[in-house]
Amino acid sequence: MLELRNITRTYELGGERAGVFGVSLAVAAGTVAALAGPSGSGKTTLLQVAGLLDVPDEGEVLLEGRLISNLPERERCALRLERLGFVFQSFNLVPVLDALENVMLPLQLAGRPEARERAEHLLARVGLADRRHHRPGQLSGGQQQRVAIARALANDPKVVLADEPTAALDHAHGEPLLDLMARLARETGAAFLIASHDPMVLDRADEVHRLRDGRLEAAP
Amino acid sequence: MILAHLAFRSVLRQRRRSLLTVAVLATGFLALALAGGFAQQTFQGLAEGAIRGGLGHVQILNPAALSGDEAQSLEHGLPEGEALAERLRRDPAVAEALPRIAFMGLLTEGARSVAFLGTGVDPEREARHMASLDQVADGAQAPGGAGSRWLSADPDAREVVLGTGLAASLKASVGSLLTLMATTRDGALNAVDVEVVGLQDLGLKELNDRSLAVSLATAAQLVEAGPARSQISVVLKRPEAAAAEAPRLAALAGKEAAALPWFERASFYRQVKLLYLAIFGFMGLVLALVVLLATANTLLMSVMERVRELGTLRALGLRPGQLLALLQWEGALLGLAGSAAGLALTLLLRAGLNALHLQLPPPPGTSHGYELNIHFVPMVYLVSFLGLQLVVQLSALAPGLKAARLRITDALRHV
Ligand SMILES: Nc1ncnc2c1ncn2[C@@H]1O[C@H](COP(=O)(O)OP(=O)(O)OP(=O)(O)O)[C@@H](O)[C@H]1O
Ligand SMILES: [Mg+2]
Repeated sequence: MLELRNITRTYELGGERAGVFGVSLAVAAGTVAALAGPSGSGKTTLLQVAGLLDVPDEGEVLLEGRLISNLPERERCALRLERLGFVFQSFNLVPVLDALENVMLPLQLAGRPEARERAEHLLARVGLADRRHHRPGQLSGGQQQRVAIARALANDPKVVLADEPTAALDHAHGEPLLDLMARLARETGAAFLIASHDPMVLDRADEVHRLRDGRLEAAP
Repeated sequence: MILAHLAFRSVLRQRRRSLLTVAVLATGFLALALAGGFAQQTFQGLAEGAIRGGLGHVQILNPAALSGDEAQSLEHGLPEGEALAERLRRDPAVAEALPRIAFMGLLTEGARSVAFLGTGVDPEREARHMASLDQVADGAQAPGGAGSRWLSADPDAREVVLGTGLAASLKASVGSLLTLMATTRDGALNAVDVEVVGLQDLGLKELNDRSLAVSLATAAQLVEAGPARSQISVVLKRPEAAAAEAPRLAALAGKEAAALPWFERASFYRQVKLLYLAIFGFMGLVLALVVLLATANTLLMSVMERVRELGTLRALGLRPGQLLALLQWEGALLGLAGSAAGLALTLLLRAGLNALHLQLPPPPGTSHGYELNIHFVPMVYLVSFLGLQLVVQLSALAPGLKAARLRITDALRHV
């Protein structure tokens, strides 16, 4: 489903080169892959390249076998809207919109007429049907992240990229969230790539890729 | 529409800042609407003054009269002026044609003589279309006293209406007997005895000091005009058609005559208009700059505070152009709110000021003051709104570009 080939994206930091170097990996549809590694190992950098938020210096990103990393910005935007979903560490909901409106946003941007029904359905699936008219500020962290997951799934993406989705949550809230993502991956057929060094994540992943200093470690 | 909705919510989020911006915009609208209304009202007043002061809507005259002074009365006139006026009156667009004789000379009473600028007019027709009646007797305030009246229609009457200043310099009043002296068309000296029947306040001191009006018959006798006339002031049924009708009337008048719309002959009107455009144009520019900076500042702050949110929107698939549009919407909403508040403010202030019945001093060069009365001019409000909106949309451009150019990765990292 999602395939990264030999991705290099580097930053010059005081004479030292940081980032990711020649990383290749693939995530199959309906599975959860974890991207593990200590802080600064390049997880976010890799996810941003995979999510078309950033352009690799070298290498290719393929979605359903199609090369997408060299597309013009307009098409990258369309792909992000309709084929990719993002979940961020700090939720990043739009603060002026309530839960329902946040989930409706990508649907409306894509011009889907059934935006409201689908958003309500998605909120119900993440267990927040009764909170749909709460603004992000009125929701707990765990609830906000559930809304973010519903938003990421709004347009039926092929791939969901989550950057440390549980890092801002305690164990009690993080665990059910991970179970939810694992279940949704299976139910929707989307490929989930989750960057995290949380052992809970690694336990639930179908596959674990370990980064160190921007390079993949060989599987043990 | 989702962008408009998002913009609306974002504007509401920073309530105090948005309100402040709306207040600036409303004040801008108020200033524009009041200044524009004042200018518009002045133009209207001056235009009416020029038209009803004798110009009519279209002036028919000999083109040679435009280029220089006449050595003698009617030197550059319309030789068959009376017949031409009769022909013009039959034109369907024409309400009235008023032939006039312009002449200069000396007005004497005993040993005292004063130079004058005289106009011979058709007493009856003139009174129907021009301001002469108001000038002779403006309600109870007749400048020549209760006995003051306009020229009679009797062609044998030898009467004169004097500008107030002219009357004062001769110590003449209603009932005084004076002598008009002028040169005829052939250059001979001629004189006619006239009785003062009224005094006239023409609004401008310079005119009041020099002007007098007599009947066409009196003027024709004095300068031996025969059927010749100096100009014909044409009153149109549709005043706004002056420029459009002028060429047609010129053709009707024959090749020795030109037809000019009133504003080409009203130099005072044009000067004031230019002056006002310069003053208010400059004021408008300064105002636009203030509004531009205030709105741009508000929107720029709102962009800077929302860097991560804007990055998230981009990650969700919003194109750079859509962020530009988002900021345009935010500006548009601020502008709309500002204009709406400004309109309410303007109408309130207008009602309040008009209710006070303030008496204003005479404007420079004019001879009497007037009561403040701010007209309701929807066109000015519309122009103020559109101008303001344009400035606001412009001011949203820089913040919009800033948002559109954010690098997503940097924006998402932003705290
Ligand atoms: N915009 C940038 N400019 C300079 N250096 C950067 C930039 N983004 C990332 N880096 C560097 O690239 C390396 C990888 O960073 P990255 O954020 O991908 O790590 P990470 O694994 O996500 O770390 P964390 O667990 O702390 O989120 C780090 O050394 C970081 O300093
Ligand atoms: Mg990271």
